[in-house]
Amino acid sequence: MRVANVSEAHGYHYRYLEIDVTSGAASCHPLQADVLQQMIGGSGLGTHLLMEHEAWKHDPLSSQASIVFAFSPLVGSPLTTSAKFAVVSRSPLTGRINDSLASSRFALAGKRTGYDALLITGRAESPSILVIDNGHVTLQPADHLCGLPAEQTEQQLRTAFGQEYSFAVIGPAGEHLVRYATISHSGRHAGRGGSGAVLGSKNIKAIAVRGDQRTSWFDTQGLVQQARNLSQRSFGPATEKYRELGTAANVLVFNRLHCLPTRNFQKGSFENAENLSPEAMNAVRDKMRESCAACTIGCTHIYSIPVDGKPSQTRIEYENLFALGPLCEISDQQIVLQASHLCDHYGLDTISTGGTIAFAMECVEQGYLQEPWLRFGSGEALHKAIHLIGQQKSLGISLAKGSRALAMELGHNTISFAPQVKGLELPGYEPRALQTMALGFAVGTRGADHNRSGAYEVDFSEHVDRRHAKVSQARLAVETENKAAMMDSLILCKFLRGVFDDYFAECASMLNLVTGWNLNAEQMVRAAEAIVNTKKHFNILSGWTPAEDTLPERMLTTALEDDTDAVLNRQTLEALVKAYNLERGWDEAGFLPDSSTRP
Amino acid sequence: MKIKIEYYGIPRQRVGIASEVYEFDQEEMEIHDVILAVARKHPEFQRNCMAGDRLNQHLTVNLNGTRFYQTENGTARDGDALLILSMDAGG
Repeated sequence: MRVANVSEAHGYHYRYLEIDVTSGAASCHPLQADVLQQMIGGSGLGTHLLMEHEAWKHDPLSSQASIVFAFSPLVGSPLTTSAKFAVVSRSPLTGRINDSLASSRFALAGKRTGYDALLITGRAESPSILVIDNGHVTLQPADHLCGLPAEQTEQQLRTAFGQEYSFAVIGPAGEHLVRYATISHSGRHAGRGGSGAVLGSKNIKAIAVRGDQRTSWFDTQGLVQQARNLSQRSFGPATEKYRELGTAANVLVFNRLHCLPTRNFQKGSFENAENLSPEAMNAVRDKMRESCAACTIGCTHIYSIPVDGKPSQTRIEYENLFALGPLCEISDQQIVLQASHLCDHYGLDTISTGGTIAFAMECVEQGYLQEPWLRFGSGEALHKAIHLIGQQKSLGISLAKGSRALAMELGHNTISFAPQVKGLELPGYEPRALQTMALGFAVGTRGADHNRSGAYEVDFSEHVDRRHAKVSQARLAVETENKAAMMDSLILCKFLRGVFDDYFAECASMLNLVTGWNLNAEQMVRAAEAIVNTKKHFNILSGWTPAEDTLPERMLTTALEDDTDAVLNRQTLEALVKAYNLERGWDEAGFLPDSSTRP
Repeated sequence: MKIKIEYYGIPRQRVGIASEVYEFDQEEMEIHDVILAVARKHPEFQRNCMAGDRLNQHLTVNLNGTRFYQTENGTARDGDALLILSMDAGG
């Protein structure tokens, strides 16, 4: 096999663009092959660049803060699901590393600007559009776009700039610095951790990218063959669930297994779950299916709903349904779909929105928050709360900071039932009923998250008793986290993961065909570990302490109401965390072995 | 004995019902044999959910909402519920 020599550049541009939006100045920096072989691209590369720029030092909403849009070596290749980009910054919600991903044409056009990543610092004097045209950078006024939702913003930009450009934009929530505002592109969101607020703090309403600088592939013939093979497998049973029902198929399964978080994580099942299932929605609503650019799966299920008396549509995922439905004890299909539409309108992360509102509902019920209208089960209250958050009005100002900040504001140990880890609201996987996932949540570098740890896969297997965790499961949690780190850095969609027979070997093969490198599976595992270590290092430097690697107190002291066998105590979780840390090669407390990484 | 079979996700799409009860002469049965009985009754299930005489690798079985038996090596008894669902729980 021929291996590319150092002077041959395939798959990467081997450079990134740093843009200071205070002055509008841009500078190009080289990226070395040894760095890229370790950090790959996407989340890994973004985290590396934040470390280089010492982003842990700065308030994430300050002008000194950095935010990175990182592409990957596979972007633009014929490999299915590879048109993705990562947005990486310090999170204004958690204060820790945040990497959120989105798909489609922005990734393709962004990489064609001639850079593997765009790093943005500073703060524009007034609301602006950052335009990157083949590497040429300008700032244009965006006053006319202020207050517009993401979808309308993109429409206006497309009219003004033309079809050759792609756009990443923020909605009103990002402009108002809501700590869980998203960055949107073509109806998809880099959703978690508040990257929309980081962009908003820089007075950047939108980024427009265009370019014609394509990277070459080392072995085009081999790559096309592998891409065909992967596409073929992507049509098979491994992705059938996503094609036919979407992620919402989880609703009924999770409900049956008592792991569908309900009523602010007090219960694991919801008596009206059936009504929110895709099976029930398909029976009464028009639906269409859509794919991201360069994707053969087509997991996006878009449902018709009336909005303000007019026909409209909304994309539905399991996480929207869980967070805006059972978590707030709401079973009305239309109310939940409209709530999801509202989150898209403002540019809000649905998980943190639902989690924070459900927490506030419980605080009202317990008498810690004097907002009697905000009740579990009230669809009207849910919609009102989302509007208040998106517009940063009255109670919305507090809700916009997330459940952890709200709990600190309210006191009375309400933090014990705030549904968050490191400030990030938990997704729809009840940790007491899925205890390997509980570990994944506790140790996750960006907080409680189902995309950076796939430990629920372990709980859905016969290898473990999902409600009675053993420390031996820590190794399995590490393995799923490593796979996710690689997937988020290559970048490929996680819905493909079921098609691989030998995951890391196939990742190496794809990367080698693109770049001409000669990496093997073992080196890919080491790269994944290096990416996780770098994220941890960032967190340590930003003030992480071992006490953060835990779950809300109530989950460690109280059984699930409707499944009393689902108990997770503090001692068990601490033993799991310790085993995880040692499995990672860190010390028992979770610090990296190199003493220089201690704060 | 009676075993309730609950279908979720793709298996439900293929079989067209949410659940049904099977009656067997034995007092207990291997989960694998129960799956074969389901496949015999539902040709669509046989065609789309089985790989040979086993569930395809992307599906799994859960007994009574507690333990998973992906290899179908377990025992079902009278009154048990067998859930057939996707292995993939990604959301």
